[in-house]
Amino acid sequence: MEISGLDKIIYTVGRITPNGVNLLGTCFLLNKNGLLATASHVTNNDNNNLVIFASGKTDLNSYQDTADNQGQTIPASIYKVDPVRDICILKIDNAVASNLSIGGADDVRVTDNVGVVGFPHCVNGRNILTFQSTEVGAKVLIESSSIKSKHLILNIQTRPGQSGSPIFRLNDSKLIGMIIGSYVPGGGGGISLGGVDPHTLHQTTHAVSSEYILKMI
Amino acid sequence: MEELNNIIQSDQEQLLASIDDYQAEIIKSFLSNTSNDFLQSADNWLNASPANTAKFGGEQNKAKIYRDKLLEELEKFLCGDQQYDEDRKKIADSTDKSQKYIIGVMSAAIGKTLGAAGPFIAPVIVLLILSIGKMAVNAWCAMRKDAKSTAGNSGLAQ
Repeated sequence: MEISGLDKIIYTVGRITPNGVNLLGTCFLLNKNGLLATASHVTNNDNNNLVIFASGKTDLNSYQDTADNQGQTIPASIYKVDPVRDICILKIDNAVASNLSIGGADDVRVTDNVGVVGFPHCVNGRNILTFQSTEVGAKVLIESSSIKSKHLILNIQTRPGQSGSPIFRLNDSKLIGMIIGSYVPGGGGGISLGGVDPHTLHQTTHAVSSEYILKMI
Repeated sequence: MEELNNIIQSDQEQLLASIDDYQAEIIKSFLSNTSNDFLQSADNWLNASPANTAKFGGEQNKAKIYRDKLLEELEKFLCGDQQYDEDRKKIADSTDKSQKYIIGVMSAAIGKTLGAAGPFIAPVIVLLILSIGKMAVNAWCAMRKDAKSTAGNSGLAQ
């Protein structure tokens, strides 16, 4: 998979606060002008002071400076929301688009290799674009308000900040899904040790099929 | 206001056509699963979240949006509260009288009050309007007012 140029399509979503920009998760540019996808819980379905944060210094072929937290904010608004599949489409006032080929979970088999690209720990202020490779461990249906939707289980540990990360089929970079979190009975939130929910420390990542993104744009 | 009366008189298919197809598909599924329970379907939308999934982003402790609060704001919008004067004027002045436009204005205005985006609120607005059941706006507003004053006299919460 070619990693050059991923920094031009994958960014962080943030919210401007009196104390600066709070980074909320990952988003990526779609193949339609000004549209980006992320998880709906990343935005909390709230438009207020929502921005795309672009540092311009996240080229995966370079050394990213962990001490440099400067960047540009681009106002964004919520264009479409699907809370059942946890998908949000953001719109920016800028005629930019990617050349992503969008597929879905049907385009991969269990054991296929995939790449995950996003910003782990960005919710702690760390804006480092990171590539991970793994394989599809299972295809599952996950229920939300009695509707079952196609998801992938990825055999890798992911962390807060990676919701909204695109998942690419490694052999041709086709988009097949988006990270929404990890398996935790009941959704977690019960225990926190130093800000970490120990239930999330495993290699069962949940990703929603990107076919649902296609229906929204 | 004629436009608001008309929107309440709209039938289910017309109102569902005023939201995006992917949203209408979800709402139809909710309605089918709940034997056409509009309020339960509204709750299903507002509370939707993939099961057994820890979320890896967003803000912690963000206030949840409840259907009752949305209904209160819808009442203010339909029943002439001055908070929404400008939005009602926008609807009255527009040449676009489609359900899609009116639901869009209502959703954006109410969403702004509640700290939620219009596209997230729109399906719930549609379901709450359907729950009114084609009653005239004035009659519904009077009924809501009566219900509140009765609850106040008896000391019972609604």
